[in-house]
Amino acid sequence: MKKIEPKLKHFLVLQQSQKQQKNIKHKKWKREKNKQNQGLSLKQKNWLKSVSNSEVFRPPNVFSLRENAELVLQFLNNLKNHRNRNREVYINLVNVKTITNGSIAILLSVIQELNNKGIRVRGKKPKDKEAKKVIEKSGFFNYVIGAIDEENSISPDTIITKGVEVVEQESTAKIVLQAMKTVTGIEKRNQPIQGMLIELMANSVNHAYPNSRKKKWVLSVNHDDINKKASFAFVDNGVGIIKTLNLNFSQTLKKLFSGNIDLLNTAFEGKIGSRTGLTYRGRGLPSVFNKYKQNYFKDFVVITNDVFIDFQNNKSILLKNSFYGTFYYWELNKDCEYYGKNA
Amino acid sequence: MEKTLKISKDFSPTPGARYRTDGKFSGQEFYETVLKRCFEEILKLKYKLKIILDGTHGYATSFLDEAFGTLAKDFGVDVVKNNVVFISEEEPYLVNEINEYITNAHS
Repeated sequence: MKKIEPKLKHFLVLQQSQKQQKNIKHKKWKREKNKQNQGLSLKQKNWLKSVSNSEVFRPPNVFSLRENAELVLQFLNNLKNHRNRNREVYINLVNVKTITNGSIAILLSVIQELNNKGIRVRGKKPKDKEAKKVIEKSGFFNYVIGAIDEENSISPDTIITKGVEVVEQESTAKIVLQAMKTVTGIEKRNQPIQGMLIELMANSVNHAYPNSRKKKWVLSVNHDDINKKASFAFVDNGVGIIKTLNLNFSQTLKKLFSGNIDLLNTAFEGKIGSRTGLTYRGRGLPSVFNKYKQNYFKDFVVITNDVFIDFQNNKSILLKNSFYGTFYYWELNKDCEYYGKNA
Repeated sequence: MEKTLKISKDFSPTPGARYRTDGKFSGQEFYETVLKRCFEEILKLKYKLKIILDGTHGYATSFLDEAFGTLAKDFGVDVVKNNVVFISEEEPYLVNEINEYITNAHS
């Protein structure tokens, strides 16, 4: 029989004793954990198990870009910066009290971006009944797996995202008809709004995502039957208008603007060409702004890069938390102009 | 004599964006499949072309710029201006916009 060398024997004994110690430690940890979980339901235990494998993100309680832009953007940026493919993302909306279709649209676009990177995303709905109703009715769960209460299952609210086509004008035409039904009681075309939606969809792809094949946009429409109002939120996760403009400008040209707020305002007013002397072809933003000035829609808000502009309230803010993309929000109501209004 | 082209009927009630790569019913598609041929035909017959913009769900500026800007580039600004009349009751401002795209078309 072959003799085991004393050195090897010593090593094997040591290895065995280390293994035993590890087992004892693990059993102790498991006992402690079970003690902690005592009294929890199976659902709660499963939730704890799933969360322990994920990175948890919690949005602010007021999850509205218009009311709480800085904190919402901080949350979204944290979410976007998650790069670990092996660790899934868990979005815990439990404490959210206010949620709007704009932030739902932007959240969905970030989730899609994470999914494109191969990161799995899961989450929990708000506990607050009203907030839960808003998200369930929004159409969010047509893209994200999740159960919807029966009372919230039928809703005119819609979310569409870029599908096979870059510009989905047939889908937006139907959405505009529905929005006009909410506002006027009758399905009507609204050519300026449809034109604007085509503009935004095309812009998001042709300008917002240079050098990228993963071109995405999200449109969310909320119907308020009581106030006869339809609110639109359009978001793309591209590079943002200011960054796109800056890509085309030299340092000398950049100095012609007093800052990013001035630059964005100038782009909407269609004066980039006259300010810089460049042959500037961008007609999309001025056309959108002209429609706003002609009262075809109201309550126009744009957030892009580090600029927040609320045109209605003449409020411009330079944000601390920059948004890598562009967010548009506007409303249609009975005070807006449309063809045949006075007929 | 004149020939009438109604975009909603002769092309699509849902015109799209600028290029074919953007999706269906783009300005480029409209120019290449409908407008160019129609314009060549009226020039041959010495007719005028009446283009009715009404009846669609709405236009993006990129659609109009691509279609009518390219027409002006290919046939000349004056030839287009002298032979085309635009009608829009639903969005009257479009006529001025299109005339601007024609005038600024680069050859």
